[in-house]
Amino acid sequence: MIDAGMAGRWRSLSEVVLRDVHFWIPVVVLLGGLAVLRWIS
Amino acid sequence: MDQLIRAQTSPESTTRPPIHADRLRRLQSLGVLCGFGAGAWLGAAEAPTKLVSVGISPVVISLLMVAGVFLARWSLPALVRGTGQIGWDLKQAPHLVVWGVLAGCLWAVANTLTIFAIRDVGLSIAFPLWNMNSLIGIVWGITLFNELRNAGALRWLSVLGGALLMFLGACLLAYASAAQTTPEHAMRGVVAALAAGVLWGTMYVPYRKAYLTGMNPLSFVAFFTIGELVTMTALAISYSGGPSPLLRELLKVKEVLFWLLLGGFVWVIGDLFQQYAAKYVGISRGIPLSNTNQLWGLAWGILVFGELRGRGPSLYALVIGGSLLMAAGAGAIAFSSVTGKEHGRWHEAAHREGRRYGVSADYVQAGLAGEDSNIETTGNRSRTWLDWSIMATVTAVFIGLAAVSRVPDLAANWNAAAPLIAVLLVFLAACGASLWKATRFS
Repeated sequence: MIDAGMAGRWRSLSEVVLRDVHFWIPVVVLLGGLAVLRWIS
Repeated sequence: MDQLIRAQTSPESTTRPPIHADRLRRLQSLGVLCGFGAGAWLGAAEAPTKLVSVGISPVVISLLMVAGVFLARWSLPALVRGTGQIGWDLKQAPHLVVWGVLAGCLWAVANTLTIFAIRDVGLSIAFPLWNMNSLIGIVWGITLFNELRNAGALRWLSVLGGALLMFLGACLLAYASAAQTTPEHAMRGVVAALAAGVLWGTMYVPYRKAYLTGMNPLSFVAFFTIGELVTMTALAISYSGGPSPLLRELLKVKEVLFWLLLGGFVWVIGDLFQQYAAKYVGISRGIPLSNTNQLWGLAWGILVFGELRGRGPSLYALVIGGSLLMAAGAGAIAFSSVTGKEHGRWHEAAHREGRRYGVSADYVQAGLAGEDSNIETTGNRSRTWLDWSIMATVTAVFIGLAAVSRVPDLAANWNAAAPLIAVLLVFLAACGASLWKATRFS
């Protein structure tokens, strides 16, 4: 299902994902959620 | 990367015809039905969290429900469409694996927070607080994905007014049942519930990203559940003090493992309907509709688990008033259909995503139209040995756990549960048949 071409494509796409501003919104929220979890438990 | 994007079909050069207005209306009705179906199933899935009251650790409950979710999220897609569809989607939009895993991480942390919130302030207060996720979802839908753009003042009023009504109704329901709780750590519980709401509201960003780009919900949840299980396992090991203490705790609760995994399975059915609602009516409408789960959670709480028993008539008046407000809000949103102009703005957002990630325009267009993007498999989805193996394994796990389980020591009125289960089955049949007829689960 996954060949060498696809692996290369994934590497390139991960660069695009990291440049997508939308991606960082859930990441920041996730880190905030983990901080709250640490605080309450 | 630029070469990669150029190598793809130009996003604007789709060979598929534009979506007809009748087709659009049909897909929207389907999305609304799925939103209500999601509410009923997600509400029922809250019942296993009552086990927190019989001394099981919140983290263990969350982990076991996630294990049930994991089993359901691989077996149901195998049953409905076959795992071949997942491979096809993976080739078309591999970046969505990252988004799916991220959404799963958000879900796992939010779900753990809700269990702490239930422990500290009770289900009836925590539920409306985390259901503010619909307001967060509306904000992201409008700002990131062009939802409600060019929709007209009436539709803005319907969606925002409806969401506000639902929030007020939720607050009334919370107030109604607040009298019966004496929380020791009220502030901690409230913060946990609000944080869960923000996490879940933001989790819809990856959902919308996936469905605008054309991915099938059944494929997306398969990637989602990997992030979910890995995060939850890490949290459980961390909170239990290591793998060995966690294993000991799991062995201690082996008699209720079945019920917790079943709760996760029920949750997945609701979540799948929610995914289709998010796909066909957007997150600004789909999330509030599926948040009618609070009404169903309350129905289970009052009728099956005897919550609020012996309280005065004024309390029941508050509950009925709050429920009516929520129903009115959901109705306002359900009737606020997407206009052709607004759908045009959805297309802009979809093709923006297609250009950014180099996804074929045909794939994106097929997803928006609720059609199978893989012409080779349209109407011809045979199951492979892998599909049958997954289904057989999951069935064996549930049968094995059922064999060693016992009914938890909870006071419950199972006669009252019967009509609620009947409603669930009606929604399952109606949503399943409609999805099959209109989209073949695309």
